[in-house]
Amino acid sequence: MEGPLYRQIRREIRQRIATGEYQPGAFIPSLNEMADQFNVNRLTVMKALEPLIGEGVLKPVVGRGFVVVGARVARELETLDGFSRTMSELRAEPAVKVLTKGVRAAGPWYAGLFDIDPSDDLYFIKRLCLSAGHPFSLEEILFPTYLMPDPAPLQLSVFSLYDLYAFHGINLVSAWQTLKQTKLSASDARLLGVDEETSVLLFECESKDDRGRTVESTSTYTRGDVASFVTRFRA
Amino acid sequence: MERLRITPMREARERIRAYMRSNALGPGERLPSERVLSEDWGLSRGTVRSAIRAGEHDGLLERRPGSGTYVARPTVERNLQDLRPLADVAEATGYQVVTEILRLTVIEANLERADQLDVRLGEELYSLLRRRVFDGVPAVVEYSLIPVAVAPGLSKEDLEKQSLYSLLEERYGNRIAEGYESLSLLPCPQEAAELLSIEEGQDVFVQNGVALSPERSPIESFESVSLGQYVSFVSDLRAR
Repeated sequence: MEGPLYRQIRREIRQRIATGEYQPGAFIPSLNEMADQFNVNRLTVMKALEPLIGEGVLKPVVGRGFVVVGARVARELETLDGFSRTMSELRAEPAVKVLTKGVRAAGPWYAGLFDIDPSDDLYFIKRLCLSAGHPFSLEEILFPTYLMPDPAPLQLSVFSLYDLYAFHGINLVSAWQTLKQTKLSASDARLLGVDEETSVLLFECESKDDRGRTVESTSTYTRGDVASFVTRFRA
Repeated sequence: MERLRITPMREARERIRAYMRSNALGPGERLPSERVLSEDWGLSRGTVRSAIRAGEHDGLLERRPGSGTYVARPTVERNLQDLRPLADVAEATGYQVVTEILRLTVIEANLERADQLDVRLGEELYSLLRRRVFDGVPAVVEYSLIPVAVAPGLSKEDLEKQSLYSLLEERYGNRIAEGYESLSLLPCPQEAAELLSIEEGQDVFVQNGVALSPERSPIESFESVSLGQYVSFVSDLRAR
């Protein structure tokens, strides 16, 4: 990277916004912190920020600093630990409301997916994820009961299943995730606060553990108007 | 823990998927009639019909009026982590792909573009607009900005013969090695809507990003608009 320092800093800030490091609706670090980070003085940082304020990318809030303009949570698409960790790191005040929790027979489809008998049981959890008090996504999570014979920990209002799996010695190592556009049933649309004709994003994710077993199947319906997804690619 | 009742709708949706899997039904193959399925599964016809409709929304099934329910053609799955050319992926999925070069002009970089592409304000950029047509249907519109200095003399004729990335690499020695992008579901802007023959404001996938050289200098900034009916995205997630 070449050119004057303030320009390099401006480019860097743009990139941090583009990659979700600085989230829409959140404050960027203070002028002092930025000055330390880039090893320059505050005036240079301010000179870097000015055009971004002019473009409407950043908005000054008196006495508090600069906020990234935008309403969409930029979520990283690359790691397994999903919603909870991403959201809490991003200070988007996440919350989860469990709508249904129980056991059910696997049936023909999930029996094949989890390599179990159709009459074997699965845990089924349906929950609504909220960001700053607003519906963000609707999740349906299924996993075989043999993985966690004692359902007691599930009775708690557990936030991160990922942590719960780790606690039970199940090490999720990879997942294949597909993302498509779909529409919801009337009742699910109501839960998510959209109408039936609105397109939503559907993530379908099958997770495998370190023993090669498919251990979880998740469908996540996310409102398209509140989220964007950031990712890095490589040849 | 509470034992849940599987709703008839959920059961029907799962049975349809299981049926397709165990009979290895491929694109264009027909499912038994609603009547047969509802009798076999002991579910009402209305339930089976709703489940088929849900399968249509998910891009799994296709109903042909007066004929029946068929397995839909798969969407073109773009892997968000690699750089496989869209045309290659679409062809591998079974689509005939035509790439149309709709526009190639030179513009001056505004500050935002200049920063993204690491060039000076006002530097010349190629502004390229391409449209991908899958089996005769416009499915993707792609906007690219490339500094003229990166690919001097770039022409429409060249782009009609060769993919942009292979042209950049082979003729100009500017290989694209990595990049970053964001993906959103957004109301389709006017020009793209016209080019895709859809209503302005209909939800479409929009990818925005920057492609970089192995030395991480920016080569292209892009915006891709795709129809969810034809394109979906996949990624391979790894534990941190």
